[in-house]
Amino acid sequence: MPDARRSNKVKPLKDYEEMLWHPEEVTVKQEEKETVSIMLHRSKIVKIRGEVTGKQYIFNGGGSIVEVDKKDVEGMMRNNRVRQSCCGSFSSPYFSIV
Amino acid sequence: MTLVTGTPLGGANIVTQEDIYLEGAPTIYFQDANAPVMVDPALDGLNWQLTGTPTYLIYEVGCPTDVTFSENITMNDVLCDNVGVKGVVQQRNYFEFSFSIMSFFPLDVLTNLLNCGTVVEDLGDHTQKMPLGKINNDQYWHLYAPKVYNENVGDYVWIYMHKTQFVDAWTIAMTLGVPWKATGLKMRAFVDTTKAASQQFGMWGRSDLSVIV
Repeated sequence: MPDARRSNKVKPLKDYEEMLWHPEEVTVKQEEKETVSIMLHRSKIVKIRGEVTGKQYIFNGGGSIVEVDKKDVEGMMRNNRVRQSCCGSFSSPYFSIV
Repeated sequence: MTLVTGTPLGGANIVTQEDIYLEGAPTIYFQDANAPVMVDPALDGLNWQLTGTPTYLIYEVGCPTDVTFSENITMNDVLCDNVGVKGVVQQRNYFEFSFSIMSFFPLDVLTNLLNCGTVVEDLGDHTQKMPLGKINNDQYWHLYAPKVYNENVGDYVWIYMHKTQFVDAWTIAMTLGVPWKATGLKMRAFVDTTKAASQQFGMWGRSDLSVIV
């Protein structure tokens, strides 16, 4: 009866150990994310259309997070302009990147 | 004014009040009562302050006027038919902040003051819509009302309540030539049974670097 390890071409243990000791040889491709996570800092439902892509984004209340196309982020963050209240204090930003 | 005569005996044991006066309304902040309060930051058994988070936002009441702070108690005489009233039994029911406002925007703040629904905002159409429906009786708020009485050095007082609700009917006056005014707004503070008996409603504090030394 032939040796099972040899017939199936199983790598000897020595090679496997070498692989473990040289992790730099293993390359993992990381795909770049096309979206950015944006959080709403207002307690309401906010509908906003992306300036560039035209996509509709809906935030469902304070703390809700929506994945926004990178191209639309700049336009969306313009809503963060500082607004002064009637008593002189300032509202916190509308959106933040998380 | 020190009396020449007539002062009580034991003069070393008389406490007088200070020549410092409070003027004007405090700033009124409120936050969903589900938000955790600061847990005894000074380790003195008293919880107060607010910490805003994206989920539990802090709202500031814009330009309040006619601000009052009051309490409601039930008081019954202990009547002895032999000698008359020997005392009273008092039960504190609630505290209440009442105020009016002239600042109505944004609607997502106003909706809380008027017990209305969740605002829907469309940034494309540039609209905000506030539903007028039934009152959510499960909505409670922390209330924090600080008042700086010396802006040069930052001395201030604050009133903090654990669990309040906007109660009672409001009225909006719409008079020609006069800013709209919502009157009859009341934040009623109830007992929070999760807190120590001495501070189940809340607390009143003061910070003064020159006097409290």
